[in-house]
Amino acid sequence: MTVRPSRPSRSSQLRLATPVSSEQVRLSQLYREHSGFVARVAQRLLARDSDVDDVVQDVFLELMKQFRSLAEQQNLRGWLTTVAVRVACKRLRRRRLLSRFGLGGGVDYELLATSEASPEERAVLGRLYRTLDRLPVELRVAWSLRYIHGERLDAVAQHCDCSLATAKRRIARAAEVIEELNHD
Amino acid sequence: MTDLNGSVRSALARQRDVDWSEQRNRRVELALLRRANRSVRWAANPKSRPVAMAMAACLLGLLPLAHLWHGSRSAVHAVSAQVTQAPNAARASSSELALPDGSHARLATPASRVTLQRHSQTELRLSLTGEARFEVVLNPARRFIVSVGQVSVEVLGTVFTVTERSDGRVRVAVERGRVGVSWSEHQLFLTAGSDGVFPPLAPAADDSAAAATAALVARESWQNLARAGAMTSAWDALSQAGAPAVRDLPEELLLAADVARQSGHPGEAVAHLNRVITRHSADPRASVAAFTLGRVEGSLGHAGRAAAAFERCVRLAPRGALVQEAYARGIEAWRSSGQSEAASRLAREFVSAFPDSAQAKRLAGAR
Repeated sequence: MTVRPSRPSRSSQLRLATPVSSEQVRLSQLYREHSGFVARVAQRLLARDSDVDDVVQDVFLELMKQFRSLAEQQNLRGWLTTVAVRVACKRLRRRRLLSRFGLGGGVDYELLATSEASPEERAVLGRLYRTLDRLPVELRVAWSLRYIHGERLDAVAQHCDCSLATAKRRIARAAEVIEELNHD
Repeated sequence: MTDLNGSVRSALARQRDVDWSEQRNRRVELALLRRANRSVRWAANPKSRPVAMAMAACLLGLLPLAHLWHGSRSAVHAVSAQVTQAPNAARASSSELALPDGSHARLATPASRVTLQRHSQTELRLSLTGEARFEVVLNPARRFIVSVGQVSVEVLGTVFTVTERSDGRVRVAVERGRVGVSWSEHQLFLTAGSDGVFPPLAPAADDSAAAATAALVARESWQNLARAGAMTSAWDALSQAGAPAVRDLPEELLLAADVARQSGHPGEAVAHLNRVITRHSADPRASVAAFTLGRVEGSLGHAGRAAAAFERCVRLAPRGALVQEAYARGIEAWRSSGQSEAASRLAREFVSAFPDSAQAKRLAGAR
């Protein structure tokens, strides 16, 4: 049988017949502009490359659902970060639960280092993430947003949906635990 | 608010950022669209029908956008025109062909011909005579294969050109993504920007200059890919080139081990690391190789071998930067392998060598 170029599948006929609205164009633009940013946030919060794709999908599904109410959103990246934080928190809680049953462990965090990193830096990075894995999720996320993602304190509070004082307390508590690892 | 400790800050500065390539972006985008479509079907009940219809319209509209994002705007228009003009043509009047899965083929000459051999959920198989450029929609669940004579080209979401040559061989040139080319009992992978003619002409058995040239090209190729961070492609290049592509130099062996580990083949790193430790034990990098070997063996579930490697790291550089970490991991690995005597011996040695360290105090307290 020879390929018949002019007879596409039913789905592609639908595709070609469907007009493209300005809203759809805007959604596609938003995905192109921000998917890389959301991927970076997910990687910094979760430190596992295998989780990044799912977080990006979850965040943009939420964007599709809430697109109309977000039309006037001035700080879209802030909104996307807040949703990414929420999704990441769920994943981290699930990861902690699985780890209690001895599942989902065995990640070599030292592979997160670039090839320029020294063995010491790799070792510190590995210890840091193993410590973060043991922290309560709220503390870990607040600390990661502040020191890995580089957010301001008020933005950390906004993304974590807590007061500024609570955000500061969480970051300070996480920093204390992390500081202990440097004295080991 | 406390500031970040210097060593943690320095380590975080060396953290790799996410590898968000164009190809990965597209793969996630397609998965997103599939999930969104499922959400629409789930939402299609009487109460939420207006919402579902709005979402469906939105998402169906996004599908052609996915094509536009793939840079195939002109192809979509060309196919659209063919749909209305010549629905039953055996071959396109234009050179643009729409394939049943949404991919496209552009025939390079009027004599070129693409024939559909098989189309299912899991496989789309075409045969080609002449020359065609293919732009393939990514679908990890479906194999996309183009056969020309005895050569087959298998694709995962990419743009590439296949040309049947007058000498019966086939030229494959890849613009984006990666393809696997198979002939007889051989297979190799071509990455973006590379091309080749298949089956390749084997150098004569006594042509040592040709063999040396081939080894040099292969060595340059995998090392450049590795240094650019493209570990999967570097692994493919290294696998094709075989042992001659890695010289017996510590830096090359360590790089080959990094390629194996970071491309998901930790077991293949073991031989390279062992060579560094045994043949270059005087090199300062030998202790790093031993430490890395311990981690690799640990990740493979070989606790005893991991412990021996960590202990080797300690012996190679007793005052090295990694020694405390190596002691700690070595003790843990001996314990995991059930050799508690070896663990205790190493622990005693550690306490004696580093009596003031926090870990030594903990170990001393635990005894």
